[in-house]
Amino acid sequence: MTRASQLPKAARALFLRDLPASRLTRQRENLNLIANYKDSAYKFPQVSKLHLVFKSHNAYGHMGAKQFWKWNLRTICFHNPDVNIEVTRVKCPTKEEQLKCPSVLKVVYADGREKKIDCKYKHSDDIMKELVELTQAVKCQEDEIPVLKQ
Amino acid sequence: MLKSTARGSGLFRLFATSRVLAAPKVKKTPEQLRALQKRAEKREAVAARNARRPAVENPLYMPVPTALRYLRAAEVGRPTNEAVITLQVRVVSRKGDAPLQGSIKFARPLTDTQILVFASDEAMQQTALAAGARMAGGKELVDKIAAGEIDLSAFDRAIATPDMVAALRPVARNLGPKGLMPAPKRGTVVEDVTKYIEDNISLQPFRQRNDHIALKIGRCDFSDEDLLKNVIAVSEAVKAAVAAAQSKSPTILGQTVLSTTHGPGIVIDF
Repeated sequence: MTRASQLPKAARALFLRDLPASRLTRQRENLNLIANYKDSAYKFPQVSKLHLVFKSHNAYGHMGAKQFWKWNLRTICFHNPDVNIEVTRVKCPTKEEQLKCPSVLKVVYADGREKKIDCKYKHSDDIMKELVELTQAVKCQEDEIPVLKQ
Repeated sequence: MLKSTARGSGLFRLFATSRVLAAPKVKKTPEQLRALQKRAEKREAVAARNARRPAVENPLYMPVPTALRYLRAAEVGRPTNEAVITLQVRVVSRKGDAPLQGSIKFARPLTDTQILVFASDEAMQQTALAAGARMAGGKELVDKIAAGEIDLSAFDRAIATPDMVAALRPVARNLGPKGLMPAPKRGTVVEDVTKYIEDNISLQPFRQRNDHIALKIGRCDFSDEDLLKNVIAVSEAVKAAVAAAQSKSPTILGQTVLSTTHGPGIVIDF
């Protein structure tokens, strides 16, 4: 068996490329990324539900929403266990449907108000910034974020 | 290279004209065999020593509620039927010992146990289906299984009435590997089918495979309390199976890992 540490960095699987080669340190890094992805450890006291809708294929500006789901939403879920988070990935077989499909993040507040963030052609970091501004989220204190020491 | 390949056969073997697999196997000397056995013993000893260490010493150890917080975050936005929580227990035992097996009564089961019933009496088939059996039938069901028309992986248990046992022999090779062959020794040949179903419908069978016991214990939308109760139920059932195991050397339970479909594996107390 070829270990990840024996491979040249360029030959490693894409999703592992920035993570450490050793199994244990990689696992720690992964857990730390769940608890504290960059600029995502926020609390959403005013929000009751987040609903992300995007296409299952990345083309036409849907990559940002996918990355937001993959990285930022995990951390949001970790710090807000009471917020209902839903993700809908729409399957669009034809090009017309693909162009028509929206990429939005719906925010439902505790008092029932609804707001939308358009995620098309936006980077996941920008979606996160917009969400924080829109909902007046509170940044988590350092002692609230668990860190596994290397 | 040429020396080593020509050694066994005494002939000169060309790579261009003969296959590598056709070369005679190099026999191991007694010293090499002894060294291999020694290495295997050492590996077993290391596994046993690691298994005896408490879970808290593991760098990836977490209490169950904390672990669930991480796992739920890793499964965010997945459909509920996809986000399944699993438990994996390492079993350290001697090679050749009978595998651990038993059944668990979950506080909140994922699904009811899928029971397959063989009964020649039509009325009994109907009562079995009414009691919660997934499928019931007589000789015609056996024929269907022999023809491969039924997906046996959907079932967890199979029971039969005593008069059907002889008729099941032709499909023993289909049922046996799945652990579905009814046998009096396992208590799956019964007169009162309905009573058996009522007693066992919420029981989940488990079996050791490749030094591990691995099973689903719930979904991410279950509450912490339900999941903890399920973990405790697994722990009790597995420890009972270890106590009941009849082997010369002791069986030890090693590290227990809680994980989900897309999530990391986290070591927990067991």
